[in-house]
Amino acid sequence: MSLKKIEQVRGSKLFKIWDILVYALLIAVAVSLIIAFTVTRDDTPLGGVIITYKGQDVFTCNFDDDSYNILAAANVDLLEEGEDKLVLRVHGDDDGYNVVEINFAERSARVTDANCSTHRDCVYSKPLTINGSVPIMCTPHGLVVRPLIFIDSGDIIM
Amino acid sequence: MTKVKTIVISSVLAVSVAAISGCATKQDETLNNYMTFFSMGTTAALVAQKGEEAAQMSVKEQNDLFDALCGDIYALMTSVENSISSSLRTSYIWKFNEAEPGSEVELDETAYEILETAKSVYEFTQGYYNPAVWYSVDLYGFTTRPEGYERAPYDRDKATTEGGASYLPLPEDKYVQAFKELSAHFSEVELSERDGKYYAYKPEATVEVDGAEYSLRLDLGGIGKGWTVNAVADMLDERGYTYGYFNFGTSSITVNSFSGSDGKYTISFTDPRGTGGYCSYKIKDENLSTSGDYENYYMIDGTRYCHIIDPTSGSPIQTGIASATVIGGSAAEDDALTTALMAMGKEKAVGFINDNPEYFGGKIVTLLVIEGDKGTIITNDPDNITIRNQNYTLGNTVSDGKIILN
Repeated sequence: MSLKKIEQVRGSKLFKIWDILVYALLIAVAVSLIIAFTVTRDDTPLGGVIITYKGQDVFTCNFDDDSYNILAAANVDLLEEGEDKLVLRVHGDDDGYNVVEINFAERSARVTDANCSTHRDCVYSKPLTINGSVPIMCTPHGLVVRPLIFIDSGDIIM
Repeated sequence: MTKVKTIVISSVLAVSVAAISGCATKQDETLNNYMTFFSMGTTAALVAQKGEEAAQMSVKEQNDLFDALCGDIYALMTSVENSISSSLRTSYIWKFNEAEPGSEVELDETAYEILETAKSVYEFTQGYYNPAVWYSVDLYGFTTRPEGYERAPYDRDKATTEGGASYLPLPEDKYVQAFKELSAHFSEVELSERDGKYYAYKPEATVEVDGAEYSLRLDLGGIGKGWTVNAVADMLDERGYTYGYFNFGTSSITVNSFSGSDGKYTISFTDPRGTGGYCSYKIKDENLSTSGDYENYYMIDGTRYCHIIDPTSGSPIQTGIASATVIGGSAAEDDALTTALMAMGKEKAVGFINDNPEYFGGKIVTLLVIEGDKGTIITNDPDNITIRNQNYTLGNTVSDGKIILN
């Protein structure tokens, strides 16, 4: 290496001020992406719903592609099928039933009627609206309505 | 120099792309951490995630372990149901219930252990928890009978109110008194273990009403769910599931750590006279049970008749305690204790808690007393409670660890 080249290398700085700013920005973006996708609570709008009845999956729907699937026709009656809304009656062989309303426009699901008990906790449970929503449980009937991908919100109702 | 810059920028971009693509992979291979089960006539839910060791495992490996865990939990629940169900004709408790008075019945280890716990809480609460009130529960229409069960002499047809609501007319007092007397003989149930086998002695006592004879019958459903929760808690610990919870019905739950924020779950307890939860606590790494008069009940002339029987009256509790919760210790014992506290009533329950600091010290006990339109919360941990129904007020202070009613 010539003396001139050595002098050039000695004279140059590895990072100029603007370079450092750009690198810092890029690192900040990378870190925030990792945090956003892996650490924070999932407040994203509900992606879909899965309904289980007595331990069996009986219905799923996906709001991203506007599709739904009745997995157990013996337990699920479609009461209403509108452009944005599905109303289902989930039941067993006995008289017990729960009515579940799925709203594709609002990306929500709620239990609107049931004959499980006089108190009917499931009917008064908060609707599912985000992927971190607490599942709606009707213990007397063995019904669970939950986000398609379950995210633990840290809230439990007993 | 340009080469160095290129390497640095490429590295940062690569990290960004890896972060995004890593997330995409996660969504493609969803980590399973939630499962529901149906057993003993109710729903159970499991949320389970491993701790630090999960970082060394692929999503598939974690899912395979989660599937195995779910399979084992389901097998456990089925096994407990087969042991203690009072509506399954093949269970050991069914065999006990059907056995001749004065005979010895062989049990399996699970039924034996659960019955042993039930006897211990029965003695501790001086009979306010009594699993032998099966006939009283059935008299008021709250049992699940097996298919083909014969109509009992005390069965009534449902009637309808003017408003259209159906209800079961109240039973004749002769049955209420006879079944109350019968349940008091639970103290005579004896347990023994010989040559690796387990036995329960069924008391000779019977009661007779209108020529029909009734012998002791047991219902271990509530305490059995708590026992299952304890067993699942051990299973989760042994397998390194540090995050999540397992609840069985609305009565018993084991809570590990929450994977976010301060690591604690916010547990709310159903408001018996409103919607949502009436109060909450932030907890982790505890078992707890709760009982209430709100899930299974009917109203006649403004009086509430629920599935929890007061062994001293033989009828549904009328003590004003609408909900009771015990946090800490064994979920099986907690389940039985909450039932007993509701049957005791406010003053007796507070006295019982204060008189047993060796048992209740370190545990959180909360009662909701409803008198008319007024709701009063009594707790031995007023500092950590969050009251969510603002119509309810705190009805006590705590001094030297003892509850002092206002």
